[in-house]
Amino acid sequence: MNWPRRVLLIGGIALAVAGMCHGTWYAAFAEHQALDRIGGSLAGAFTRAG
Amino acid sequence: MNSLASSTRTDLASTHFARVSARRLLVLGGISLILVGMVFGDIFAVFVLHQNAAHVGAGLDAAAQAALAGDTSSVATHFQDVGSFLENRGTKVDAHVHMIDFGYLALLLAMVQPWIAFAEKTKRRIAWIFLTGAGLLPVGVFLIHYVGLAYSPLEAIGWASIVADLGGVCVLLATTVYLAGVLLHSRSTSTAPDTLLALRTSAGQRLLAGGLMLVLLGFAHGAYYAAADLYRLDAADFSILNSMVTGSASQDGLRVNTALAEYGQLQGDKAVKIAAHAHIIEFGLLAMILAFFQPYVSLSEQWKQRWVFTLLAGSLLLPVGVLFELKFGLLAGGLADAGGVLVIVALLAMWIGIVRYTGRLDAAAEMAA
Repeated sequence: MNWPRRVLLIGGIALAVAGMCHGTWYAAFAEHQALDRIGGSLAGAFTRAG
Repeated sequence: MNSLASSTRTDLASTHFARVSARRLLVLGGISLILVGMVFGDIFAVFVLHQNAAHVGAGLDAAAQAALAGDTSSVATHFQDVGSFLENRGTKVDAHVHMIDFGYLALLLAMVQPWIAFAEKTKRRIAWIFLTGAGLLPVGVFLIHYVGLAYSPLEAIGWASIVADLGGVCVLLATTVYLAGVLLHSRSTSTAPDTLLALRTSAGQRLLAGGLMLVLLGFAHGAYYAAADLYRLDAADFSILNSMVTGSASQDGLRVNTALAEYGQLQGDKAVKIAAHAHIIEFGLLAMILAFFQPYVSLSEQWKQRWVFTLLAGSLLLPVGVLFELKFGLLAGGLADAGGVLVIVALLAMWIGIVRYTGRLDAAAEMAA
């Protein structure tokens, strides 16, 4: 395997792995909590405005 | 010449596309994932997307009117409804996107199999783990809206999310092990010739050229969107929501209604631009990946060319139709859906061609045995 192919191959799969690690962390620890906060603050803003 | 080509293909098949080999599993599984994801996306676009957007708009309208009337308990109820409609939309988009992207990844991993320094049996097991996870995640995500937090041991995450995360971990593990295999192979001195990447068919070359053109068009559109629209739309998002809330606070019904109409337009404008951009690039990548698997498509040259043309035509029609959906309404929406159907039909034809190829290969192996 020549050098550019090796770098692209390993770099590409490593990027996919890094992206999936981030996605797993986001899905488990950030997404639902953030959505709850967004919904809560929007509803709160409208309620207070009323 | 024909006998040379045929012998090259037989070598290629016996080396890298044997019965239940990792490459064969990943190719057939990957295209199946893309096909199911696209069919699901088309059904979602026709039967759910617009109806759901109308419900979100109506819910937001009702919440603003309730705030205007000082009915605070209704505001919370309407926002719960809006949240539910947004979750319905979001989980379906996620299921569609993940299924297709896992399909792409499966096809790419199928290509690199000769450069993974593991035994075929190990590679096959990893391929099964990958495909199981790739199927599990979208199904879990799809079910999030329907299962909710029922019987969940956690406060914010339901069982469907847990299943989806488990699927994601399977895909992540499989890809990481493949990466380790590539790293091991790159340290060794052994060579792994793979004729698949060397074989050039006419259909493959057209897919490569057409796919590259689609990707470049997508990049150009993305650059234009980032330069001309992105900051303007983000600022408008904030100012419209602000106008909606202050209109409610000052009991200004006209201002609230204007803001609601503007908000719907803004969300639609953003959605079509992002969808057009994402779809044209993804279709371009799909065409380029499929180019490498054309030697496995057991169809006549003429039919291969027809399916290539159908795939590229659909790949252009869908994003263009989506982009003009706000201007031309149902006509553009119909064209976009027709484009999606063209891509699905072409992809299905190629998948059948590959299944025919594997059938011939297995029959020949059985005859020889």
